[in-house]
Amino acid sequence: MLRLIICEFWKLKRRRLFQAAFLTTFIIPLLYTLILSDANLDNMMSVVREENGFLILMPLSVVLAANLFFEEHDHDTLKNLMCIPVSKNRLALAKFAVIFLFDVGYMFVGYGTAILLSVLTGVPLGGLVLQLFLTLGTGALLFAAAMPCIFLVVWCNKSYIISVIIAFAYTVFNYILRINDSFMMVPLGLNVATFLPVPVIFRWLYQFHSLEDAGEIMREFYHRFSPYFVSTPAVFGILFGEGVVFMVLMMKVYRKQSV
Amino acid sequence: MPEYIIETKNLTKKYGTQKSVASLNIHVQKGRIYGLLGRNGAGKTTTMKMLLGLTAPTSGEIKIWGKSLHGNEKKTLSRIGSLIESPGFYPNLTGTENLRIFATLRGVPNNHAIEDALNLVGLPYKDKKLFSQYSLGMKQRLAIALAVMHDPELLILDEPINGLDPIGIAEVRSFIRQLCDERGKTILISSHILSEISLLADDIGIIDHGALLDEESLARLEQKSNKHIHFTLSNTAQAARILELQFKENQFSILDDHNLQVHNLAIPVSGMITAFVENGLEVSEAHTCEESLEDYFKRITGGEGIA
Ligand SMILES: Nc1ncnc2c1ncn2[C@@H]1O[C@H](COP(=O)(O)OP(=O)(O)OP(=O)(O)O)[C@@H](O)[C@H]1O
Ligand SMILES: [Mg+2]
Repeated sequence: MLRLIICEFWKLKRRRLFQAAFLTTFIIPLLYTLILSDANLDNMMSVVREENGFLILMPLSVVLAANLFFEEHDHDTLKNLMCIPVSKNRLALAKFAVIFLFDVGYMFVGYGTAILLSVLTGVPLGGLVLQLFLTLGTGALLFAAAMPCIFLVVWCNKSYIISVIIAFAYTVFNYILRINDSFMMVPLGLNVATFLPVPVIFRWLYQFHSLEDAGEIMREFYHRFSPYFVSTPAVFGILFGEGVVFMVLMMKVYRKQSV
Repeated sequence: MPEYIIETKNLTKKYGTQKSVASLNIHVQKGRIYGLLGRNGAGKTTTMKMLLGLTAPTSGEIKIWGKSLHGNEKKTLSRIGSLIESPGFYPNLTGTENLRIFATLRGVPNNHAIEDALNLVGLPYKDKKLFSQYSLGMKQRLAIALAVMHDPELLILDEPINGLDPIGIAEVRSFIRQLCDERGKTILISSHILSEISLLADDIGIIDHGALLDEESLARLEQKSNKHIHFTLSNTAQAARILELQFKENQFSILDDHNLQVHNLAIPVSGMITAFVENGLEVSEAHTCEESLEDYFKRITGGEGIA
């Protein structure tokens, strides 16, 4: 299995898209520091998680996944793999592992960038361990949150362009959900809001915002929102479950697609 | 009883209602080169895909090394090297990098395996050229290198000489021959080019519209396909009687009232003519015909140009 994962990474060699993708992780934190003079680490990290993560990494993971899941078919290499033989399930698992590592790695680079920029601009560092946990955790959760969309892409098995469109539609859809109270302010339970991955992640993340520099509006919002926070075990539990369900479905679909 | 490395029983593949392979029974013997010959769309690739477990048979049975392929894929496939249709590799990697991926996944222990395989097909080791920049022939060579890299006992090669230049074809032919003769490999090779198969194969299976029309050793096939003596004379029924009574010969066929072919070349032509004439027959023509393998192939596939 490890060999399969290593090979998946070898296959990405010279793929400019993925090298370029890592550069995007610097842009938003950089803009943020440049535009806002009173930046603090907590806010900077939130930007890394929320904007870098949900606006950039989400579509990137889907596009990466589309690439990984289409490449064997596109390059007609599936037959070579099947003749080894490599099982399609394990191949799919290796591809999931690559996407997961990409997501977590991307967030880690974002974390590093935020610290670097803080040091450079003289913002005091503090609570680094919590921030690391939140940031990497977001990466892992994002991986699961992208699964339904990746499933859709693999299931449609359409061109690369369609996949990009689906990825952006999913990102925008989630962006709308997270500012929509009817999905954010619902108690956990058997309801739609509980199973929408992105709102749930935000309901987990928001509780860690520090209120030190926050204004009155922010505080008031925080209090109104606090009953709907989601605990760490709950958020990981829900997304783990959803991730597994969609990965199993995806393996089924991938297995059926012919050589 | 020869030892069969590959044996199929009523192997059938349907796509929708169309039968691409119909009740195929092929027998590939150990240490020999078996040529699967058929026109475009005859079902060669489909057959090979089924032998490699790339597509499931609709019905029928495949035995490789005496064991059913189904359920033994892992053990069986690791002993086979294959090339199916066009070469498939990652375009953003060099040839060596491509082979390294497949060698790693196969767990090829020998570090020189990749270098040796590339040498064998005449491609440079650790070259900087990406697969996407390869010429058609280079791609085909890389695919052959992939097939032989792990030193398999059985090779299944689907039209391996596609896209190669004449010198490349000769090279590939001679090293396939070598693999068989010197290292005892068993090789199943497909082609729609008769001359190619007849230069290389020990046994030939002719497949058309998914069905096996003939399966013979090349030597037998050449015998079967070729010579006969053609007579044009006044009464074939009487001539037949003369052949049976006087020459004790029954290897002949009557085409119509005036045309007859004798398949046994051991009988002297002059003797037969004398006998016919003495019995009052008029012989207007007698000649030896040599049907080439190609004519034979055309005849049994009922088709126009193939080679
Ligand atoms: N995936 C598929 N779906 C439907 N029909 C198929 C499929 N693959 C092959 N066929 C059909 O099966 C028949 C045999 O095809 P196959 O590729 O085995 O021929 P072939 O002997 O390899 O021909 P060629 O010399 O052109 O390579 C053809 O009529 C083809 O259209
Ligand atoms: Mg073919």
